[in-house]
Amino acid sequence: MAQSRDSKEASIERRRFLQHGTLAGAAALIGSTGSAPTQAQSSVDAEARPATTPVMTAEAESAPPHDVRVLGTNERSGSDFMVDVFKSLDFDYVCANPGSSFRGLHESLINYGGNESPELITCCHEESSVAMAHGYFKAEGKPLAVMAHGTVGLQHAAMAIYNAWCDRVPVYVILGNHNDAALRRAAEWYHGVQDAADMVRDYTKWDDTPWSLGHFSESAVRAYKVAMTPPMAPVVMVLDGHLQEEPISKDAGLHIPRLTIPVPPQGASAAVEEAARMLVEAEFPVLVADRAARTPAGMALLVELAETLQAAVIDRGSRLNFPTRHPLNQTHRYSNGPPPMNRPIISGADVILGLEVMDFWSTVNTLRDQLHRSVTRVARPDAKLISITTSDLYIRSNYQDFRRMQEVDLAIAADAEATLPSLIEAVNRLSTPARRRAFAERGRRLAEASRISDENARIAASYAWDASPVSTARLCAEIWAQIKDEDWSLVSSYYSDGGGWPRQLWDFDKSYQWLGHAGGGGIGYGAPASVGGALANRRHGRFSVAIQTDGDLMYAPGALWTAAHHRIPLLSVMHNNRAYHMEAMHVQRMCNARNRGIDRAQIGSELVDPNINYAKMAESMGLYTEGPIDSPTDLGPALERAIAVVKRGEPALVDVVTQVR
Amino acid sequence: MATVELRGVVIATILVSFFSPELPAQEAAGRDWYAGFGCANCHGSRGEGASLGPGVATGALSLEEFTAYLRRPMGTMPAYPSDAISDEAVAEMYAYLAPDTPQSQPIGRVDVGAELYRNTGCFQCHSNEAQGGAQGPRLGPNPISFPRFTWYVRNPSGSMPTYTDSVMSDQDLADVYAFLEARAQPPEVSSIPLLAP
Repeated sequence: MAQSRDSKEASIERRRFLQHGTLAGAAALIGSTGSAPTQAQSSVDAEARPATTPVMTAEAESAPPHDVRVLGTNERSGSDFMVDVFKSLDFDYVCANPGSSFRGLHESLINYGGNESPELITCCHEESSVAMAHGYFKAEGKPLAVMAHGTVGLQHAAMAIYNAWCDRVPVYVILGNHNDAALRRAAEWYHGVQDAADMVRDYTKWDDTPWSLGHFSESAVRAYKVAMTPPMAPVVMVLDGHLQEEPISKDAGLHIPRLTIPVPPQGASAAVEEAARMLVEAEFPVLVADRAARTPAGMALLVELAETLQAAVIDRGSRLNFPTRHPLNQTHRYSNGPPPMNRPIISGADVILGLEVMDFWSTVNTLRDQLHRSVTRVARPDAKLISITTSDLYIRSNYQDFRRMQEVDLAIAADAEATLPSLIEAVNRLSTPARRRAFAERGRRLAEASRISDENARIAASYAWDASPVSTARLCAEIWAQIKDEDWSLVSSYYSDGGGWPRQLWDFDKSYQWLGHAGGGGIGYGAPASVGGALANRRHGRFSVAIQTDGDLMYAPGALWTAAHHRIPLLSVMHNNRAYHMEAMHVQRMCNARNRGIDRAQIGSELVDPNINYAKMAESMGLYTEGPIDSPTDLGPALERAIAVVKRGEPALVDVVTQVR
Repeated sequence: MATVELRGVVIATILVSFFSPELPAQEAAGRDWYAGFGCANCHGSRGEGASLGPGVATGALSLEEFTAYLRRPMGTMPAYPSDAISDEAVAEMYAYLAPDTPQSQPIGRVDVGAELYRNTGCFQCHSNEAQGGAQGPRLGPNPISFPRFTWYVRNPSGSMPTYTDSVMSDQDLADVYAFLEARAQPPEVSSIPLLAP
């Protein structure tokens, strides 16, 4: 019955509205033509016509305002104070799609905050916003803030947050939500949620939903501190819409806590001494680094340790831990495949030191991916294993990124980079002249092995050199030839890693030259992360280049528009192999294992028929483009033209049709 | 049980020796090791493979790889450490098992092989021109011998999918092999300025 009465009242109201609106329309018509229709005629016309855009009436215009106000001169909004807090945290940028649940904060950022420090970066997908922040952090070492709706925005952002969490990258996620149901507009109901952060709590380090501005300022600073303390990870702040929009007195005594980032934990001295003793006494120690170089200083420390010991180094590549052309870098003599794929680095080691290695198990073991899976230990049975990692200080239950448990002989729960100085000091102290002579001889052998490995890589790159589609080796060699004299940064080569060629053919020796992987294996990271990395590099005048896979770009190509809109100089070179090839390989594996046809594995994985023209797509978003290019001889000149554009401060995309790997 | 096993080894040794043609000294020694250690129980009298173990007679393993596998095998195969069988003995066994006998080989067709190479997914790991890449080694030009090639395709040791003869016939493999042989030789590295150190 209530519904029926409401419906009737709504109908009457609508009729009145239409009548008044029509009168106003008629009055306007009189003014312009002088031929006024009668009121009755107008009403009949109004009934006959469908409802159109409401027309302001003279009656409404003359009515006194009802329950309407703006900020008084002695007032400001809650979100102004929030901007004060964010400015105190020194955010450079906030990445966001617009969303009504944080409209108050949005307005404060651009007007009260002057759209500076932080500046708003317009994104086209919340997943892109987070991935941009992910890439930015790895180039700059500072987190970005991301704004999103607490419901639909966070749902879009979730995969990218998971990537960042797995990659131990801090992202400061700000969610808008209207907590008070009594004040919600219609849309704020389906954009409203009881516990917004719940959806990502398994893969964020901390979250809070402040109920007052005093509560907010403490939690906002705490969130930043928590995110930046190793092991780093994303955090979430849920900001109530009413708290953002409600006026507060300008002289409200709100305090912003001082931020002090904790010093990362160093390994206990006795344990470090024991690790040093094992390394010094070892005949063939191997240093495996994954996220060890947390800052640029980390690489220098690892170089010092390796050179002191003349030990082999394997860089698993979540960060750039070690220069690629350093003679002790044995990464490309290493494979975690089973014998005979396994090369004699891990299998020859008597002591293996893992530095922030997320997956120590797969470093020293291998799992054979056949119908019946089998496991083999690659390392010697008597090899001693040492781990230094903050992973031992932090673990969650649900998502399994902690990997398989590896038994080790000495586990130091500490930050590897923070521990390296004391480890180097202990190694130096324990190294006798006799051991140093042995180290030197080992170093000579490793340098020779590294030289041969580099030579073999160049020979391998020469195969299919003139083939069309372009080989990945040729693609990477052509790029390298044109950027090697720049202050360059490979901001992403996700998912393919350029066939592994950049780190075999290019000379990486600065931490910002290689930004690692997505962390959680979520596709769609590469394009926005490269834009984020390039945004960080812009202020340093670095030349940013991405090897952009086609499947990854198709997740959220709007990241290219963001690059164009914000004049972010970035050269995206497409590794366009027209398929999700990794997945095709998995299906191929199943086809083979089930022995019932192997010629349809590409169904569901290929991106053909029609082929996607990435040059046209990027051009439509305002980028300079070249391609599609499938002849290797056309590639060099196209890159040269695109590089000239990027050097002028704009993004460019070169679409290259490539071989699969 | 031990007596029964020993008797089996002795009988196998006698049988292998009896039916084997005259062999050079190294292969003959390898034959004795092979039989003496009971390898034939799983891998067949001449390494041709049996129900318990894959064929090893025409395997793709180098001596170094063969030795490494013996020392630390995967799956259910027992390990043979160096104090059980010396490197020299392993080398002799390897010589015995090496595919020194010319085998019949179907005539391959390059154009058919090119199509098969793509349609059966070889290129996914080994790249379009068989030059190899991050997921699989180079296959051509100059591929390994055809017997070793077919053996490996049927019995891959790593994570490569197995291609049985019901999804790729020997003729198919011969066609793919012809495609691999026909791949272009690369230019000299020294002639490519972009690959200068």
